[in-house]
Amino acid sequence: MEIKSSLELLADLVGRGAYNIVYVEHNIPLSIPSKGFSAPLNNEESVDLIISSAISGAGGIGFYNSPISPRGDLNLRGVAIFVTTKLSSKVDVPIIFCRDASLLIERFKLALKVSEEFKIPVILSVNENALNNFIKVKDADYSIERISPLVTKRTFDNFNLGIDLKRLSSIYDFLIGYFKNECLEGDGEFSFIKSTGKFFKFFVPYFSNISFLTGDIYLERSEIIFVRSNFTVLNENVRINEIKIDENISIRDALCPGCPFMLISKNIDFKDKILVTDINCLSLKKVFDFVYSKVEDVMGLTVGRKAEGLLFIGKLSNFKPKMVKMLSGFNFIFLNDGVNISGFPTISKPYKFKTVNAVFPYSCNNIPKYKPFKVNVKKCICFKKKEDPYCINKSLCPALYELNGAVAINDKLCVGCNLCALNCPYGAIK
Amino acid sequence: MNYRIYFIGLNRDLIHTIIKLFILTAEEGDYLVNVSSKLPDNPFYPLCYEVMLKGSEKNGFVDIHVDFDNYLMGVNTDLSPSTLMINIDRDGKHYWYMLGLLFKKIDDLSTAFITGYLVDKKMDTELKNFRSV
Repeated sequence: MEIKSSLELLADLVGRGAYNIVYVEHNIPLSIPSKGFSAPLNNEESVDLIISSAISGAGGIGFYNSPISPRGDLNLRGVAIFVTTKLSSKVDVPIIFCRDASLLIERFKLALKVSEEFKIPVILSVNENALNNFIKVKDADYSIERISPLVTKRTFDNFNLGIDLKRLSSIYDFLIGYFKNECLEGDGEFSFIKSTGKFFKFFVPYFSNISFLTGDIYLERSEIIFVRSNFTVLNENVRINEIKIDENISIRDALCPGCPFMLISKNIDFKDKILVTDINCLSLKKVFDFVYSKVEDVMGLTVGRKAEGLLFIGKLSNFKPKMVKMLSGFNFIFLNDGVNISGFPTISKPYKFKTVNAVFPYSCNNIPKYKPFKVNVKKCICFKKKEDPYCINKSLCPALYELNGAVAINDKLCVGCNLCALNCPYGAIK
Repeated sequence: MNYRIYFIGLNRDLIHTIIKLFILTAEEGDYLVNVSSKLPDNPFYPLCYEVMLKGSEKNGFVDIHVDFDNYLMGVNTDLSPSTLMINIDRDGKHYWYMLGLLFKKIDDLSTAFITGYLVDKKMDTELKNFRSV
């Protein structure tokens, strides 16, 4: 008997599946690289790419920590699987739920089977507990036949077919048969994210019935929105409660070494600003109080009025050059995530600048690695003076730690971003 | 006894290896094991796993916090480099010393799986740290 982490198992399953497109949202710690595209994509673009590649017969899979809404009005020749921890409020495709890591292989294979047999994209909704857990594996045998990719003029007929209720009905019949008429399941009573109460094993738009749910059910926020959006009439015996995450444990914040937001905050004062980003990172919300919004939405909100205190920091790849005139209502810094868009001034020294409305030289996905910094132990006196170490507290860098009463730098993690040196009042880091 | 052990650490590969070995050991010791977690906030955020060992019918749990890299705040950490006054090793070799201490706290667990693994992988320093408790 072998024990694997859920993420290792998913990497194995993806490795055996020969997918032409693999997309992993940057905050999913999966050890497989994205493939099948060279330019940086956002979630919506990746969903479209996976679906269109599946129409031509090339399989695709995406992993997300954000809600996504794949189209259901399509006829696929390859599989399109979307593994996500957050549910979208409205969905047009079947959802297979997995709230227990031990069911991950079974549910993954079921999602593949439904996608392959019914030629439709499938969402595999895995909660965070199941996605970051451990599984006993006897054998994870997995094989599935592929249809060879072929694009003809008729391939394009497979777009915009309209919602096929007959197909959805067949999927519902197949899944209810697969689960032997038991469409609900409960979760264990121990859980960091407590998933107690019965919930669906699967959901098929227009066919799944809320009347099965009774009693108290505990759901995550995105699941509650999903239930309320998809079932207008709730059984009066159902009481939906939001899961409260265990707050007994409080962990010191740590950001990615070289975090561009940390460097920007060192140069541009964030105080009294409305901070907006299109990068889905929980730490940005916790550490800086960023709100998440697309750049298009910020443009819309600031049309005809200037929002002086609004600072948008987001991916350059999400900006479309034709919108350049709509950037006048707010301040922005675009992070260059590997695209070549000219027209904005570029920040050449990321550790020392004062300009906004410019392009920062890198983003979260392409942080450059320079020579690691070194600590002069004689000058490193915070611990000796019983002060909180400025470099650690103000950079939140996981490469810094205490060693023998001084700060040390883990050169495996250090990217040489200069942030710790900027924050050291004693000049101990060079 | 029932235990609720929190493992918190930065070294992802190592913490995964340790939890896998710990699960095997606890199950071999006839504990009912349940692991819970959530995704970390960012790719470098410390991992936190809650491992529950149920060995008796009682409902109470003894909490043990194993904070491998001094990231826990607001609780009296049982095992951490600062409370134990040991140095953090950048390769995580101190994790094995702290795991040895955990085995000392839960004294009915066998160390065989851990020592077997470390001998098999020829991880001599780690084995020395684990057994030096």
